[in-house]
Amino acid sequence: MTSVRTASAGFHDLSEAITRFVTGPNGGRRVIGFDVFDTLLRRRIEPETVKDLTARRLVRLLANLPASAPLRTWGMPDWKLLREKRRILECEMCEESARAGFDQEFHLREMMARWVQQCRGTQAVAARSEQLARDLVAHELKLEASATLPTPRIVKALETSRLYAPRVIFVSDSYMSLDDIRMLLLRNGLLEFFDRGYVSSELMLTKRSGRLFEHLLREEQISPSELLFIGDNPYADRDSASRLGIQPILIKDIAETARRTRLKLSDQLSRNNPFWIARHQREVVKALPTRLYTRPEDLASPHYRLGTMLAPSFMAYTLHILEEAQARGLRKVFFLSREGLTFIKMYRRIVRALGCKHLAPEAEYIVVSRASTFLASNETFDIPALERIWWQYHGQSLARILKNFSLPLEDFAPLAAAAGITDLDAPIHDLHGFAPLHTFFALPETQRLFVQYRDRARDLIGRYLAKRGWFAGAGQNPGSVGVVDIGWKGSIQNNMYRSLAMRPDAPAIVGFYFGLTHLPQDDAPGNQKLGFMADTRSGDWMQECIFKNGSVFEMFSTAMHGGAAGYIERPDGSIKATIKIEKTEQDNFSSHFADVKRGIDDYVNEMIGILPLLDASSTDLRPGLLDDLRRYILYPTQAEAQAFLEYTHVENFGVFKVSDYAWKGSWKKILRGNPKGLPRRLLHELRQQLWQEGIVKRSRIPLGNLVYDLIETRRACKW
Amino acid sequence: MPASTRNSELIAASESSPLPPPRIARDIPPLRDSLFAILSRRASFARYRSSPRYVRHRSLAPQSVHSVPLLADTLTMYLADFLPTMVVARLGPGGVARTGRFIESIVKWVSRGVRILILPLRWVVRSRRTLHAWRIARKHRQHIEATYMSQPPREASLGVLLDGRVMIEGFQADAHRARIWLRSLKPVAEACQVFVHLYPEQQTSLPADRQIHGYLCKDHYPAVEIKDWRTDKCFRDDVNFADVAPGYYRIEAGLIDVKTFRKFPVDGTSRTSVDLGWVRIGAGGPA
Repeated sequence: MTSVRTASAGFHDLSEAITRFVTGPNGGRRVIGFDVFDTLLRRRIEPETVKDLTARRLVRLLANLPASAPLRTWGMPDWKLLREKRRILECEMCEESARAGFDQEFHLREMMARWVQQCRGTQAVAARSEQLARDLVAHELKLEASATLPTPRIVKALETSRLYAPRVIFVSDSYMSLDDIRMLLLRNGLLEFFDRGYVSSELMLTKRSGRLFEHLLREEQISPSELLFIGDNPYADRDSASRLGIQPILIKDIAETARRTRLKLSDQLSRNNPFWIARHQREVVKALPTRLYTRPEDLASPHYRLGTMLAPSFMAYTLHILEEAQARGLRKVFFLSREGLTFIKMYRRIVRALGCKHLAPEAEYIVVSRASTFLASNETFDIPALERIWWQYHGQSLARILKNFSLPLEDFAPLAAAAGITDLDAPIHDLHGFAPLHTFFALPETQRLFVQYRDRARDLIGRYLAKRGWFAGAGQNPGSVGVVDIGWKGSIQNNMYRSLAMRPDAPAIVGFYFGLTHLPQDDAPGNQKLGFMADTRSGDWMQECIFKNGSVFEMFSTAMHGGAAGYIERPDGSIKATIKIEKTEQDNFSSHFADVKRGIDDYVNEMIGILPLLDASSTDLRPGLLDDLRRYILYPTQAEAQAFLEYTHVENFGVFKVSDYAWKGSWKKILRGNPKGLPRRLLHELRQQLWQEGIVKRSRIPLGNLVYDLIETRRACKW
Repeated sequence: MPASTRNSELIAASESSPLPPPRIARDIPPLRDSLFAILSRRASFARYRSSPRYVRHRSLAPQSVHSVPLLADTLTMYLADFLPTMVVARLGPGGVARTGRFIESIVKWVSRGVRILILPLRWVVRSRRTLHAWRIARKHRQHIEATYMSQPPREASLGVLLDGRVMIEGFQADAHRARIWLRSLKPVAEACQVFVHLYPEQQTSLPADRQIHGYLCKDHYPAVEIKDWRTDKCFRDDVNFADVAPGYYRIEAGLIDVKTFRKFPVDGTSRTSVDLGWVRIGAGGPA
């Protein structure tokens, strides 16, 4: 056999190359063959990573853990050990095959059965081994299916092949069976182009050795010169084929090689340091996207980009909720409006994608707000009750106090007048020293009306929650329930706890928060809170950067349906939450917010589609994601900082105002006084602003963000 | 079964599949983190890591300690993102990692060079600080000398030597306070307290918790550390009796090393405290 001159082509000119070889002077090819992996199909993750994921699956099966449970280093086998056992087993099976006169190859199902036998030890009875092996094979094929995508422009090349050649075949060196490969091609819409396929594991002959090519030449009853073979492997697809006289076309795709280089690097780094796990996931999700950036205008949109940046953190937070809720045996998880709507959707999709619906606590969305729960949460209507919100929203007028307590102004205005408060809109600056307010609270009629309204509010919220399964039911253990919100102090959870704590059937509450500013005065038995990305109890300055721009998380996880104003009883006796939406919020939702949310949705869709490939716990993901968020918050790009000016945030409790993110400081205050104190006054004024780092970036001062970060870090380190 | 038949069966089986075959959307803007932002974050983290707050955080919540990647790894990923596609493809994972490590070694050598270059500047800054500190120390010394250093009056002279190193030069007491003049003859490195024990005339007059000891304890650290005492001037140690019940008390005093609880022996005796005699404390005390 004589060697032939090899040719190479990229996917962009593969059709032309095929046409040239088929219709050219040396044409007359009767069969065109294609390699499968990295030629017809492209992988999101490396094949070795698929085997890692299967090893992790085996650990869960051996330890009877649900698919979503994070792997631990104690109390269960180490997946890396199982993976090493598989590697050695594969080598042994290849050698056995070679000793039997075949090429070095093995079959997936046979290998899996032997691997399970080796790994199960005393943890599984022999009868279960077969079931385990079948489960693992199915899982690995599912992973392969999630991981593979048709190579761009390959359809055009296949159409050209079908046009010129009587037969088109695929040939693969793979441990999967022929039917497995056909299912992968079918799933990717490519099977219809092929007349037949050859897979090494079926025949125990490989392309590498050339014996698989010899076999297919016999089967197809053609001479080597009648076969054109297209593949990406310089040894198996080019050298072996050309040695037999088959004309090969070697695929060269620089962009794909670079992508795989990045993928391998991030994979390698993530094995040594969990910091890189999030980065690796991002690489997997965004490298071969099918749902992201489908609109051309998204490419230049900083809003859409912000959405894709926030989405992984939100997904990890939701995964954290699922893991913790399962580990703590929560009866039900309640997602609080409005941020909860974003997370409950993610929660349900994750549960579906992981196939752990029967194990995950049930999720329920409840419409609550600080405004709708505050009245019910108060035992008394006096100065101490007012102090709960006064430290945060001081200088309120009596009219605003009544609004925060959801008490009708018309009922209390005459009492206020009787107490000597003539102007209901006048701000009260000295809460303890303002005598008419004390008189107002001391009036028996004030207290009688308050108790009347509060008890009504408690009754309504209690019935509303009862309908949604908050209480376990008569004679049952109340157990624990989870509540989910974005943050930051867990006021709604406190309000709910205080409103319902006196009921004997009230469950203990575990609050999940993206970021938690812990207040010791809120601690109570049966009212626990956990912060995921940031928790001030840990005292970590790195985490606390989240609070420097908490609005970004709040704004873009908020549901577009407005806030809960209260509850009303329908004529049929059921309780309905009343919703109120501000005009500014409506405007927000129809403008750039929609772009950000679309970015989040697209990223989540992309992730959910390949969730089995992203086997990492929320704890693993946290360090890398936190670093991403630190990058955005502390060192935004100019485009990101400018884009933020287009957002506004509506506060509908306490202050009732619309905040924007432009500089609101007074230069007069900064410049007036001793020039020596100018930096101090500038910093003081800057610290009053929302998202100070964005303002520093917009100022275009060189190294401004680094200097400000160092100043703030130095200051924080003194505490 | 012929292959074409099997194909058509599979295609027919998949017709109920709700998902269309996936398509890759190309030309996505790369995920790039600027080198400046990467290094800035590392710099601020390094500042944080050197602070006591980080130590506290690490002890409070070790499970949430921020993991920071190696500089070489960070540079490797940065290069993988920023180098031209052709170069990344040509280098491969190993080549990019080697380049990252190479740049890391350059960065380290450059930072060492910068450190050497800024040594003179640091020396100037430190000298200025030392000078400033010396000026403050001098003021402090002057204040100490004005406040605590004085010679005992002739009538209060005592002259008892403790451990051959510290001389009790004098003692004076009235109803409200006692004054002990001490002088360091040789350097004393130990952290010492002056112990002053008040033995009452009637042991039953002691508070219940002191009955077992038999005396009132007025041990205290001297206002000026013993290592800072002078050999040419006496340190005056004041003991206030404001919280002592009126009555007659016998006073014993001396020095004790707070680490080893070793009392300084009185030279020429087998004792470890000096008996300073009886004092009537409190104006309204029994005559």
